[in-house]
Amino acid sequence: MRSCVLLLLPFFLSPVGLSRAGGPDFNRDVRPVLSDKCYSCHGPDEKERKAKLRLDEPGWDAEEVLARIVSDDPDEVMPPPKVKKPLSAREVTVLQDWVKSGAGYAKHWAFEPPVRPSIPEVPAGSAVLSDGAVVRNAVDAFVFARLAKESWKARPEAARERLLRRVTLDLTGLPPTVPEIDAFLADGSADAYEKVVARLLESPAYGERMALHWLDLARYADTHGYHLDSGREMWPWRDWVIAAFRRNQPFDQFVREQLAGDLMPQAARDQIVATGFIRNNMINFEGGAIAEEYLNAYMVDRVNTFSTVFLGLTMNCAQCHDHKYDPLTMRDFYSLYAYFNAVPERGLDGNRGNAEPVLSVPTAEQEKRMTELEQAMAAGGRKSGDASWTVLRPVKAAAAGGGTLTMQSDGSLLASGSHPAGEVYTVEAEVPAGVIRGIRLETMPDASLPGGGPGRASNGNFVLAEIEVAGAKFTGAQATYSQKQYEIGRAIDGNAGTGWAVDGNERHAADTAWFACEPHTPAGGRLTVRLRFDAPVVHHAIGRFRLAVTGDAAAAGGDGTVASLQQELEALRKSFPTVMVMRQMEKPRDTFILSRGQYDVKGERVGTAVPAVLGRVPENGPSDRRALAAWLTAPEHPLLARVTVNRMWSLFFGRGLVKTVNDFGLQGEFPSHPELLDWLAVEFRESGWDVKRLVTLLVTSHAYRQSAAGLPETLQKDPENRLLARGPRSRLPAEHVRDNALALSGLLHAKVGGPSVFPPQPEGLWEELSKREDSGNWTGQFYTPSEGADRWRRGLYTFWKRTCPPPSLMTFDAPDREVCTAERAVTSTPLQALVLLNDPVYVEAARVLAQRILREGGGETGGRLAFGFRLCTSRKAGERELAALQGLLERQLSRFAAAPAEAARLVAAGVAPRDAGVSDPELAAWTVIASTLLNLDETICN
Amino acid sequence: MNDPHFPLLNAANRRVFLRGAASFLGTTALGSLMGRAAEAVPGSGLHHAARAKRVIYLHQSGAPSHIDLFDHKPAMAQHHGKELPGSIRMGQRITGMTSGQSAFPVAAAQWKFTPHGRSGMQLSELLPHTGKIADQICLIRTLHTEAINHDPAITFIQTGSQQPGRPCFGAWMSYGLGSTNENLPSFVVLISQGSGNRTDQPLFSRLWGAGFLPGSYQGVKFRSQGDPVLYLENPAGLSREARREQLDTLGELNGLTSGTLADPETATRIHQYEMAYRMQASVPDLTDLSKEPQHVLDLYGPEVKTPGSYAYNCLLARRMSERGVRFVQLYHRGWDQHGDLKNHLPKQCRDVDQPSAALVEDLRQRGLLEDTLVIFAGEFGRTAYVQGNIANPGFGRDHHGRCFSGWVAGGGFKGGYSHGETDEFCYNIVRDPVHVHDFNATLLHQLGVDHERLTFRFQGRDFRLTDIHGKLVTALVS
Repeated sequence: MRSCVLLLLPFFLSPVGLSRAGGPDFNRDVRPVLSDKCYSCHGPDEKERKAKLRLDEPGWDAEEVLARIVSDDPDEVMPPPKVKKPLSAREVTVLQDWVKSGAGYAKHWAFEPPVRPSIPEVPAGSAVLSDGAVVRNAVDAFVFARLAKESWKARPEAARERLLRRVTLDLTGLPPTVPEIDAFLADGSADAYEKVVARLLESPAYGERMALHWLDLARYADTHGYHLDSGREMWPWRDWVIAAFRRNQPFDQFVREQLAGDLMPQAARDQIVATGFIRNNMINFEGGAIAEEYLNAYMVDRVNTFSTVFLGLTMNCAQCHDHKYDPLTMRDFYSLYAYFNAVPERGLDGNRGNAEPVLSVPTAEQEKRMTELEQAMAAGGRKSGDASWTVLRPVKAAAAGGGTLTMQSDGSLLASGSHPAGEVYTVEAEVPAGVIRGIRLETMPDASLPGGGPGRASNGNFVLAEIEVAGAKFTGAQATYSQKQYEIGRAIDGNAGTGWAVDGNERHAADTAWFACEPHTPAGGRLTVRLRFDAPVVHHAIGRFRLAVTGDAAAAGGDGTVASLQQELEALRKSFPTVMVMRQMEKPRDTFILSRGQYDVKGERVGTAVPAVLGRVPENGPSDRRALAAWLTAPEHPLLARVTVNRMWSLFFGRGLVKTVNDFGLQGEFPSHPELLDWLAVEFRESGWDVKRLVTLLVTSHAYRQSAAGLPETLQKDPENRLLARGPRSRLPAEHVRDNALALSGLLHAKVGGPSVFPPQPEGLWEELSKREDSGNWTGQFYTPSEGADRWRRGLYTFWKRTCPPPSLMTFDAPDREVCTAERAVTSTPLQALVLLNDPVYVEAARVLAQRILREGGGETGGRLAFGFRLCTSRKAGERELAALQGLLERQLSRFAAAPAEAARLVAAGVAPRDAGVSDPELAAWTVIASTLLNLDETICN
Repeated sequence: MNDPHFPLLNAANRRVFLRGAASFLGTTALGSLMGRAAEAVPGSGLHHAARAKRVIYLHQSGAPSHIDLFDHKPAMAQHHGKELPGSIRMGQRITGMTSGQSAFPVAAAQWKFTPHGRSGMQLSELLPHTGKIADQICLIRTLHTEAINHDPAITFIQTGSQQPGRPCFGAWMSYGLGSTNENLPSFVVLISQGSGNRTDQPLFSRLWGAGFLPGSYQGVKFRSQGDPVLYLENPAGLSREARREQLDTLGELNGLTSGTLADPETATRIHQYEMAYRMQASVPDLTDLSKEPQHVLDLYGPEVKTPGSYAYNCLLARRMSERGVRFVQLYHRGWDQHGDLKNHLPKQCRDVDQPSAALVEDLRQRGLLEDTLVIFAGEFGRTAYVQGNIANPGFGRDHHGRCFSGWVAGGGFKGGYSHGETDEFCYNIVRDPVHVHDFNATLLHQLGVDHERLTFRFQGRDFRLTDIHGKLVTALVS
């Protein structure tokens, strides 16, 4: 019995095997066998290679190999019994046939750049079209040509309501509304469907739908994941993804910005936010953990994510040894690792939110207020007498520690050269006659400074320990900004152990300080100002600055309002959301090949490089992430376009053309439609990586528009629908199951973006896993349900705690977002039934849907039932369906009429408002009807 | 001849699992949480005869001190307060919590050991009840792991990898063996809070996650507050009779859909709703302790009626095993004694000693112990040297992965047997090491599973619980 199963197995793996003529095709038939059964000992991994025989290249003794694979002698037979990978009879035949036909090799198909194949002819009278199918575009030509080989027919187009439902849910994750259904049914124009697709692609929900898939790939979450799993703030990155899909950003640019947006010339804030993709990895701060170990874990995760998402390769295998199947080496792995091993992060971080490096991302409102405040402060400064200040043009400027100060055209001094620990600047300048009552110090960013300055510290900050003027006594100081515990007064307190700083590492802003002094007349008309950076934090000199003096006491004191404006500004800046982003270290960390993948067993040092089998980056260009991004998105890249169109295909057709969406390597499955895959890849690339165009191409094909009702033969022979002898049909993804119920009831709050929300969930879920006496010390430890409309936001906005993800979503196969997920399983379990029937979210939705049916469904019971059924399934109910619902309603009406107290309890579900004028028993009975409708197979499927 | 990738599945199941449980046959409950009973012909899928059919895993989260509880080293008293010899520590990596300490003075066991059972198994005075089952347990004193911090160590012992992404032991069991009771999950998780360290280590859903296996294999957490299984109860005001009527109509409507679209998933879904309905009855029956005789309740100790206590969970575990739940995973927090070992360890032992022993005894009396594996272990051990100042009675012990102790009862493990030997400081193993992978391989073996052949192909590779390691330790089993 079992051996029969084995014989059948390849046919399930590959419906391509359904019909086959001629000798075996190396890529399709032979290599999968060699790879799976032989390469682990006779493949690319040199260390593990047995008998110096490699079968991934020509040049071996065919007779001996053929004899060994059929040998009865356990000591002779290959593969040896101890590796537990016996060849099936079919596999033996494939190898024999292949050797007979000359044992020809071919490069692995996925490593050759795709070439646009010609579109097959499907003549109008073909049998495949005889049930009413139409060749609408190239997709259909390829699909139908393949079906024709099986002598199968394509199905006719699905009923219009079903089609509208399918495409609306697939493109937006939300169901069509009744008016949308009516409009589509009434639109007799030839392009009615295409118009619907165009409308859907313009809806905000399209961006959300596409983003959801990308969040799985990018392992997006709202907490750090390891150990105490504190909260992080990555939603600005999530919103960037939604926006990118909405505005149809070309996919190659979408990729480049996520990989290297921070390194682009004059990088816009959004481009830097995009690099949050790389920072979505889990991070740790467990007490006692070793930083270096976790830095390594972060880089490994980034390489794995990068490889799965963009290359469709299982690079992770090469972390500990050369890949057993694919021509990928440890050197390749660690060379990719080196691209990411250049971000100034700590190995242990994140106990209270985001970990460095971060970027502030004020909202539009916050930005507006900030501009207002800054303008008001500048005006305040001018009011305090800009005209009465005289900018000093130094005659002498010395840096005692050894730096070099160079005067700029605006009178400012720019520091360069060495940056010693105990730097002290002494500046001499001629001053106007008369007394001096104040000194102004302007600090300025400059491109030559670390991170743009204004300080010379490696992070761009400075700490001014003291400002000193021989003979003068300071009486007060103000500044446009002071860092916490580094207030401006500390620069004139006579204590070099304290000083003034400006969070230059985050703000990289220009700040001004005003120092008032007792009337002072410099001797000889020359003023000497000393700026000390010799304590309390060394290597923190100002990088560029300018001095001015005034004799006007009012100006010298500054304007009192400046300080209060400054306070507000500071509070405002602190309230800005941040997002973790990439930044390039001036000197990247060294990267080593790690023996067996162990972080503390370092081998040879490697630089950045792309996997050798896939080419190389130009030698004269950059060697950082920019090079990686450019190489990946170059037209000749064999994988990016293929891997991307394949995942898009799986989004709309349920499975990839390459079923192993995350493995295009030698162990990956050969495509069901290789020419179609390549045609789509080339088309996508040549269209300018136009995602909406690709999506349109897929969903306007007849293959997609077909009826999902399959014929018995195809259901039996192609249960996974790889050949598309019927239209796609699938249960909705977890988030959309919920969105759908909220939308049908009218509860859905369609706000796009913003911080993640906390819809109600059973009490104590987080606490039972992680409650501690000191939980208050960390972010993301307590679940406080959101108030108001945030309870009813779309599922992709639900706060994602990695160690305790939202239970209802997990029950419907949402991934835990700890690592990259390219494809969700679709399971069916009793727990799903319990969620849909009993989770208070769904009970509330049922009660509110019942109200809606009573309100909008007309005055007749039959009409109401029909309305509710159509709302939920997008189609008209049949007579039997209406009768079944009618029967249920009657039973519930009498049941609740007899038990009004029970009815009152049921209709008390949730917090959404209750319509007046409906009795408890009536609403309770309709709530049961609504719950039944929300649980229909057709309601939760596309 | 067995298929190398899906050795425990019959043909129909295999097809389903090739694509993460998207079933197409829809006959009974393919790819479902607990619908495998009809599919898995008893015994036919196993690699060899099984000695155990089910598992109860008593995980002690935070890592109990093997030195004070299980690994008797009377000679250590002579070294008490003296620096741990360099020849013992050998410069091995230690955690960031003690790596800055200037001294590593040895602390001998703080409690007395006495021999128990026919073999004279040495156990701490903190574990008097465990002493009474000494003849049932196989005490392994030479477990070891590479991990030295909680998150990676607990992830490792449960999933075979220190980094996230792999299925846990229970998920592998659920995938490989399925359930023997359609009306209960095949893999259940129970959590209790210890009385010891109140700032103890968190748990993560990853520890009962399905990793790259379909999500239906993840553990189902039974809770002590609210519904024992999330969303088990009908909404307030909706009676079981009303629900039955609702499900009848739902089944009828879905049946019509099934007739039109012929999507096998629809038929599967109809079945899932019926199982959910039955589960609504079977779970309350499971958690209803009112029919447990007093002498059984007494066996588990005074906390047994407190939902969420370790004792309560042990009793539930027995009731689950009786009903065919394949894998019951308990987690008891509170064992991370970095400080105040003196106060915290006795409290933790009071939590778990009597109920753990009661569970073994209760199973034995019912004839279930012989084919149930009861496993008691943490994620690593603790250091022979103190964390903190040895002069301060509030000292503790840091994490130690080079050796630790655990025990297994039932399922063919040798009772009254102490395995392996560590050095005189309970620091290094001198004889018969049992790596975590070896331990898991041996546990799987007792369940009729060859750890090298229970695999799942993900990203081109056949993954296993034991990664590419693991040796059967035959000395542990009879």
